[in-house]
Amino acid sequence: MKISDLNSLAKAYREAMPYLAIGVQMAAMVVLMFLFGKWVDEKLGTYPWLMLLCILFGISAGFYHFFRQTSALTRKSNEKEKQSDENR
Amino acid sequence: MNSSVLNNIDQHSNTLIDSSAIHAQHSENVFVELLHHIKDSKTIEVPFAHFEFPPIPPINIFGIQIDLTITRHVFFLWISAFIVAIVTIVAARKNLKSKVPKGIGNLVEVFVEYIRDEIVIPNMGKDGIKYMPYLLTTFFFILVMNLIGLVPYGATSTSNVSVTGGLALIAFIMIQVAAIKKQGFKHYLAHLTGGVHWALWPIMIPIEILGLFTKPFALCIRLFANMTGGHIVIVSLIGLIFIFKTVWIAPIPIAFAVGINILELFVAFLQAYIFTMLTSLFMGLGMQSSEH
Repeated sequence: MKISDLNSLAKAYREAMPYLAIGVQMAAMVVLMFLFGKWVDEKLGTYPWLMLLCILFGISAGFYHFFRQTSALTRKSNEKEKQSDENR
Repeated sequence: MNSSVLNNIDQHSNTLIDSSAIHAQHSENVFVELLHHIKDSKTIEVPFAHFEFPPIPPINIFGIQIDLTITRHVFFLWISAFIVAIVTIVAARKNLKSKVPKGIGNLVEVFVEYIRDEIVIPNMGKDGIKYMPYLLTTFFFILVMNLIGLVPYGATSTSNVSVTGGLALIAFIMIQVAAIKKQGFKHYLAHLTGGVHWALWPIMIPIEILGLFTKPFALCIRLFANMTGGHIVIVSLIGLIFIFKTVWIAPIPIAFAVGINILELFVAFLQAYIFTMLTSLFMGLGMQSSEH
C-alpha cells in the first residue's frame, strides 16, 4: 500500500465519519434512555410506563439531533466548497 | 416384546441426547476457556508461566466496594503510558538537537504533523492548535494500547469498557471546556436552550443535555466494540482447532487468523485516528456554534 493510498483513505474516513457517527449517536440516545427509564422504573415500581416514556423521549431527541447535526455538517461542507471555489 | 423394543429405543435416544449435551458443553467450555484471553483477569501470562498480582484489600467509598487489585488491563495500560512518555520525550529531545529529524524523531513528527494539518486545522481552525497536546496524547495512548494487544502475551486495555469509558469521560470534559472557553459560560448555557421560545425549554434542555452525553458514549462504545470484536474473531478461529480436535485442520484457521491479525494492525491505527478525529470534530462544532 502506498502512502498516497493511505492518505486518500484517511481523507475518505474524515469526510464520511461525521455522518456515520450520527447514526450511532441516534441509536445510543434510544438505548441510554431505555436503560435510564428501566432503572427508574425498577426503583419506583412503575414498570413499564416510565420506560416507554423515556424511549419516546430518546427517539424524539435522536431525530432532533440527527437533523440538527446533518444541517450543521452540510453548512460546514458548503462553506468549505465556497472557500475552495474562491481560492481558484 | 413390544415394550422391550420401545425401552431400547428410549434408552438409545437418551444416550444420544446425553452425548450431544456433553458435546455442546465441551465446545462451550473451549470458548469460555479461550475467552479468558480477552477478559480482564488478575494474572498476567509470561512465557511458560502465570504471574499473579498481589491482592489489595477492597476499599469502601459511599457504601460501594471497590477492588483495587491490579489487573492485566491496568498493567498494560501503565506500560503503554510509560512507552508513550519515553518515546515522545526521546523524540522531542532529538528533534530539538538536530534540525533535520532522523529515526524515531522523524517517525513521531510525521504523526504530529499529520494530526495538526489533517485533523486539527480542518476541524477546529487555528484556535485548535492549543488543544493539540490533549489530542496527540489521546492518539498516541490509544494507538500504543491497541498495538500492545497484538504483541504475544500482551493484552488490549482498550477492549475493556472501563478504559474506553475513562477516555470518553476526558473527551467529554475537553469538548465542554473548548466550547465554554470559546463562547463564554453565558453563551454556552444559552446554547443549551436551543434558541427556542422559553415555553419549550422544559423539553429542549433535556434533549440538548442528552445530546452532550451521547457523543462521548458513542466514542466509548465504538472503540471498545472494535477492539473486542477483532480479538474474539481471532480467538474463535484458533478455537476451531480445539473443536475439531485434529491438528490437520490447523493450517486453515491459522491462515485466517494471520489475515485477521494484519487487519487488526490496520484497525489499531484506524480506531486511534477515528477517536482523535471525532473528538476534535465535536470540539470544533462546539467552538463554531457561536458564529452563526
